[in-house]
Amino acid sequence: MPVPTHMGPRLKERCTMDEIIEILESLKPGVDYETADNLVDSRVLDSLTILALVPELEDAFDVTIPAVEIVPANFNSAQAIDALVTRLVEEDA
Amino acid sequence: MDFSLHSYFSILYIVAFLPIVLVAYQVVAQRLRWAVLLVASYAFFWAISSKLIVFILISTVSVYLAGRKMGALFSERDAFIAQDKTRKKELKKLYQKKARLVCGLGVGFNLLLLACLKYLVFFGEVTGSLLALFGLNVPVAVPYIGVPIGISFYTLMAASYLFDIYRGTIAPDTNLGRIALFLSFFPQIMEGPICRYGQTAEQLWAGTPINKDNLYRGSVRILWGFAKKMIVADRLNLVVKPIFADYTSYDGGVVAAAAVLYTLQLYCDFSGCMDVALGTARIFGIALPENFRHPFFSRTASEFWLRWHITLGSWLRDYIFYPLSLSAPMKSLTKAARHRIGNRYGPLLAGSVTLFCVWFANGLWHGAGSQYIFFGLYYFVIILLGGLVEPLAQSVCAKLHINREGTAWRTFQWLRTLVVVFVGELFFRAEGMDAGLYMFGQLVGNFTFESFTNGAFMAIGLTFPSVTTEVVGLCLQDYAAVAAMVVIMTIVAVVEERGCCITERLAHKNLAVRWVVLYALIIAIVIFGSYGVGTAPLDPIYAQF
Amino acid sequence: MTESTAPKPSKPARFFKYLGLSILFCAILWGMFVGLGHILQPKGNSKDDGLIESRAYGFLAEPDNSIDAVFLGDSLASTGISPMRIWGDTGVTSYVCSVNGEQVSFAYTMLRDFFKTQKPRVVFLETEMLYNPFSVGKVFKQFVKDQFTVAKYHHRWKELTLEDFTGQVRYDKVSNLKGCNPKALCEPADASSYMLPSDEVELPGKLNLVFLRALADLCEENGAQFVLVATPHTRDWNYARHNGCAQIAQDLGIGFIDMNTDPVASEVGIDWTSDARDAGIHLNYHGMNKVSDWMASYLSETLGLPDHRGDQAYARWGKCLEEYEEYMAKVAKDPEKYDIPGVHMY
Repeated sequence: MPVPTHMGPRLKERCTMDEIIEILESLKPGVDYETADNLVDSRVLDSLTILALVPELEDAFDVTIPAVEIVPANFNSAQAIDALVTRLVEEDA
Repeated sequence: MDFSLHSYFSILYIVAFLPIVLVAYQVVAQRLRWAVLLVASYAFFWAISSKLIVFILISTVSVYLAGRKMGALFSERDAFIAQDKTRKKELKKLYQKKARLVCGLGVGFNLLLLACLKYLVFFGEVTGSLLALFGLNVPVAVPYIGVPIGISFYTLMAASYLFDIYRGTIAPDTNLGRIALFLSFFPQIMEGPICRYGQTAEQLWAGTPINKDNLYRGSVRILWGFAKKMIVADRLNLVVKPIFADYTSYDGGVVAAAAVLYTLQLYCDFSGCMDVALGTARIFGIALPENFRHPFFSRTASEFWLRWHITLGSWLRDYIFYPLSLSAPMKSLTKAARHRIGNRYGPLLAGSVTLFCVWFANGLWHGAGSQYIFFGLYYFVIILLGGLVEPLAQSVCAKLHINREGTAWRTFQWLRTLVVVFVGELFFRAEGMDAGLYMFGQLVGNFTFESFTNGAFMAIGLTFPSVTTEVVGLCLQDYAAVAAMVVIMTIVAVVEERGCCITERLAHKNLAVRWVVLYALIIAIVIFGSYGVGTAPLDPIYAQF
Repeated sequence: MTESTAPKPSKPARFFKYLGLSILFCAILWGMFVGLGHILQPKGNSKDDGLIESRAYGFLAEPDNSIDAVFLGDSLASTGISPMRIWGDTGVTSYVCSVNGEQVSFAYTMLRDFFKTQKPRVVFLETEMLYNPFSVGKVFKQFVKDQFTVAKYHHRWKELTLEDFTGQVRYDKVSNLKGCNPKALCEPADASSYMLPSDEVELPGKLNLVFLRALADLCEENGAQFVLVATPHTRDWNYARHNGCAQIAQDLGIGFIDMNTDPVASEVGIDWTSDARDAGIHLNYHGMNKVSDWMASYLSETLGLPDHRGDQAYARWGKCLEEYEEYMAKVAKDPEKYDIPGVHMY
């Protein structure tokens, strides 16, 4: 779902977050992704799930997530994933 | 315990080497302390491997040069980009290619060195057997130079250094001495942990003075490691060694006991050595990464490998699993698989290819032998099956109204994981693939409690012909000592799993408490340790890998 | 963490404080080791009591100052010399204090302990020990074992009894063998290259010499004569070593008897086809008897050691002789029961 660029930044943010949560729930339902902050440490996102998550994120936001970014800090919460995606998008621009 | 310097448990190390290094470190000026550590590390290396020291020197220099070359390339690229921002993407790509070449050469050279020194004999044998399959009985003669201590560990560290520079995580180091110290730091050289440059290089350089808190915490940790090794690991050797050496003489019950006891022995030896390593580093104010996190609390085999030999697992994950899985060909495979067989099994299939590579590497890293590769692939199958069976297990449990977070299920998972681990370690320790298969056959086909009821098990032991004609084994008191230690370790583990760091809490208690703890550990080691006449202390197991 | 308002003690003050604390720590630890050592020390002198070198330390059960000669060495001393036979021949009391495979550093410890309760007139050292090399590490380990009973006997925690805590020592297991370890197997030795004449001189190693000098000094302090003795063995003995020992004996002013060269060799009369246990390394009891007979007459006639037969205080030795002869008869009848062919002796 491409993000309309004429929207304000806050709304843009919300759309990205919603999308991320949607993707997470499709891979591993039943977790409260809005508030959870230890997805990797508590093994909700194990290495195989991350392996499925990354291509989804790459497709949705048209970015490339290099292996070096696969660290717990970037994936422990939906907010962290959001920050990662946003940063990569800006870097590519 | 011998008087020659051959491990952290030799007398010479404890009474001479370590104290001298500690004193030298403390009296020297802060900016020179790294030099003390470096000299000590190379002296230690020389004491164990003598002339083979040349190989760690070669690795260090190669890694230093490759790192600087990559740094030069990146600076060049950034200069060009500053001039002409429009070519940013293509320049990045071009220089990435150049850097990849340098990184590949650097890593490849070091891996080749590792292969030649450690695996050549094994590869020779494999080639020989392959040729024999085709009827060609060519003796494959292979030169044997020797295996420098810690080569499996420092090679991985060297590779990670180059990979991290390539990926832009760290900047290359212009100081050869610092890289040399990073790779050779003596507490970690024998059995790891496998550190990343970003984790330890800065700390090693800092020259933190020895303060009483660190000295105490480090000493307690070192003594704890000694206790584990000498009270449990060395003691169990009297029973484990004969069973594995003479494996055709024992029934399935004894084999099962051997698997359990060996796993306990291996854990106490390896984690005990880690305690000594991390404790020693702590005295110098250096925090090395943990290699164990109470692995026997694991509920699945995957979780086990997140708690056992942590630094190896994370190295394989960060430098093989993710890069391979996210490489272009693998991504297209994943995509195609997701289309064909859905979101669950698609990534799993693609992931299984990299998983295979990771576990093959894990097995091979442990040793030049077919049973180590078998060990790696054993876990590959277990973990893959776990992933495949997961949705089925979920629906079955839902139907049977089994609470997957309840105590009963968790106990089942825990026991199941223990069995998987014990069987894996059985093959790991067996004297070759044949022995492993034979013993496993006995385990499942000839399991009986007979040897425990008729006294045969208690009669197992080693002979020391120069001392006595009797067989020296373990008596009930020995097992009681082991059991007591296991209970104490479990209590410590439970406390630490809850997040409380015991040594830190102890460091803040008053003098009497602190000294009582030290005395208790020292006395326990001296009295209950397994050393002296009629014992068979282990050489640190992981030092051979 | 709040900063204390009081000024921090000066650097030298802190250094001395830590030094003092370290010394206190070590002192308390040392005290604990000594205390635990007392508890763990075997309270009897037999193997069942847990004493490790029970054969050599059998002398602890003998009355004080009753033994006139002592033989130190490794397994060659215990298979080659029989104090009981010497007693039977001439009534001289002696003891063999040796442990198989041990080095001369151990002989020093052994002799020191021997002098605590005995006043022998002569001390013999079997020369094989002088040519067994050992490292400084071994010396260090020996020292630690001597000083820290707790380390040597820590394994006795498994078999502690009430007796161990009351500290009463009872050395009462009197041995009939008096430290010897007779063997009955027979494997003839090849004497073709035995004692070929040579002018070479092979001195013992430096570390061995250090302990040899220490032994000589110890004997002098305790008023005992010190004699090197080479019992008959074809392996590991040659003229070079003979010359070496002769020289070192001269330098130190101590005695040297070589049973491998004439005139002693003919007097002892070893027959290498019947007297060897394992092709020339050790003697069997036939060889032992011959050596002991020679030694008995040497002690009695040449050194003039007293004949204690008939002395009421030494009546126990007479009883031991009877039991010894019974034991020797058993050994002779069933050699393999008391020995393991082919295995290095324990």
